Amino acid sequence: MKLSDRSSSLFFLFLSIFILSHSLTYPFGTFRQPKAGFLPSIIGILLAIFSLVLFGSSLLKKNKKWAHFGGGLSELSITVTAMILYAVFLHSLGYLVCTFLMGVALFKGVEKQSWIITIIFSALYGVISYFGFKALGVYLPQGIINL
Amino acid sequence: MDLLHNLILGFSVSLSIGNLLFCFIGVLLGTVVGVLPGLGTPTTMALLIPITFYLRDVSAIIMMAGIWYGAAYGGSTTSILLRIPGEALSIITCLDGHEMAKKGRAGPALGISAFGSFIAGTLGIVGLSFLTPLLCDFALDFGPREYFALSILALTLVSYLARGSTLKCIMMAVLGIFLGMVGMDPVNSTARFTYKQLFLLSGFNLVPMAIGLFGLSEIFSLVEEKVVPVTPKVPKGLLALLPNREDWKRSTGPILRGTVLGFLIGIIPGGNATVGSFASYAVEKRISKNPEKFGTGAIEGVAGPESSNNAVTMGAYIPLLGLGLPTNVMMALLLAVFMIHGVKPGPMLPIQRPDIFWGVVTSMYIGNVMLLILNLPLIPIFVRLLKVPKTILHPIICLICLFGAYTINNNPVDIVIVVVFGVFGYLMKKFEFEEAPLILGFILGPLIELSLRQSLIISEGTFRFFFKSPISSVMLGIAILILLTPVLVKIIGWRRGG
Repeated sequence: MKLSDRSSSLFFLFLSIFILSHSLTYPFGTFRQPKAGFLPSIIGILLAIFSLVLFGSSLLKKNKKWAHFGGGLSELSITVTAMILYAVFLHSLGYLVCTFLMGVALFKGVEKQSWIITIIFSALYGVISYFGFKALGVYLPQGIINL
Repeated sequence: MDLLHNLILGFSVSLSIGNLLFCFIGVLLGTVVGVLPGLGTPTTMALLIPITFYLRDVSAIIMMAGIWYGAAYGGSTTSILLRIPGEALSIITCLDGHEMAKKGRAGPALGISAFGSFIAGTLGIVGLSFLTPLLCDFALDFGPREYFALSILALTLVSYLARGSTLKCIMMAVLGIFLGMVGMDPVNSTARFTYKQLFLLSGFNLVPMAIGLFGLSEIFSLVEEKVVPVTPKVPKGLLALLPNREDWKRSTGPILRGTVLGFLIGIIPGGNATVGSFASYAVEKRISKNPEKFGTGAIEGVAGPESSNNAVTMGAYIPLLGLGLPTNVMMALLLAVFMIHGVKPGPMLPIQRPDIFWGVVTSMYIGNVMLLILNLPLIPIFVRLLKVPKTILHPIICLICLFGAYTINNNPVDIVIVVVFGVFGYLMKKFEFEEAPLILGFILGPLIELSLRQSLIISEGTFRFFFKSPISSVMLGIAILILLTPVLVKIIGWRRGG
């Protein structure tokens, strides 16, 4: 077990407290008539027990190793932010515009491609996938460009 | 003689030009859907239902049936090449299939997957033709306690999937069960953990979760670690896809075991192809002389699950065709196609509409041959995806994953769910937790809850009730034995050491 286990066990412990506290707001029932809060409460208790066991076993080990993170956290942040923005603006800007902008963010911001490649691939992907999805009968949000 | 007569009748229906064409369209679409992450089988089937209005009943059913077993074939391709499961049923293939690809053995992995699928599919159809009455009787004996015991047994088997800590594996399975409880309570319809959000009322959808946990998390890791991934050696030509003698020797047992296991899981209502592939993997790992090699590119870890998930798809047709009982969402959609055309599947179907019953069954023989012929030549085309630089491919995969998730409900919230589970999966990888048990816990969670609560209500709160049925006793007994084995082994070891 490692130092990282200590933090992950604490995460699961807080999660189990969250599950348990919210489960108690639903009727538990009895063993003869179990209700909506019955299994969530058991799950919360089980997860708490397992988290404590993991925490306890991490205390017994001398290994202080922490989870390894690489150097690309800023690229990762750009990717995640771009994806969330894609979800937020998909209906208002439409599939074509959003997909093109998302492509630009990923090709340029994350993968550091040249502007020519960025624009060509973002536009190509947007247009080809647009007509591909259309052919399959998939609903595509039109947004500001109504083809 | 009756069977021979019926098979001749079936082939006369399925070999007509029109039905051959629709069978081909079905399996081709299924393969493409299986290959492409995000565009799931239920979505495709749902999208195609309006088209079936314009087809003859038997042609429509043959085409729709082909989509599902075609997807079971195609699902492994991206799992092996990109570690992105095209379908949930190929999640487990990511583990060893992708490791084989990294070691330059993408060809044999894809080849054994296709051959295993073909063998399992064909044997599954033989089983479907011959064993339907016997196996239906067995599945009919299942009540809530048997479902509960089956689910517990499946989750116990998951603990054997753990490459690292079994405790962490169980924690992820428990978390998966919790996620499966989000939405409407299955007995009293009480909304739980929904916080007045409409999209949570029907619970989380498996597809965005799987895309996030397996697809995006992998891309996130590659982006963050700035590691240039090892590009698998691209197999050139059909010969490069053929497994060698050693591969066949190691794969024959897993293929046959996976077929039997998958077929049995398929006929049990609630048993699905994902559970079948997980169970097969667990069995192969358990009985292997080198279990430590699983997860590092063991061909048994590809052959077993890929055969099993194909056999499950065949087994699942038994309750639908024989009893009119859909056991999963794909079968429910297929039932809708039957109903649209005024055909009622069930025990009377072979008598009232033998052309449909035997036409559909025999079309599966033909579809399986088509899939083998179709898949092997197409694999190099999919493999060529790997020649595209990762800096170009990753953004495109991201975009496919995101919009694939969106198409499920046309709701941008599904995109957010993919991203959230992608980040969660990425962090869990960093902290050495496995994603697979979470998914299985999520799939089995609702079944566990429903069957547990029904059993307790029937037995008036007596847990002894679970051990009064031979089927549930055996399954729970095996589960307990599996759980206790590591503890017992340690105790015996300490005693001997002491």
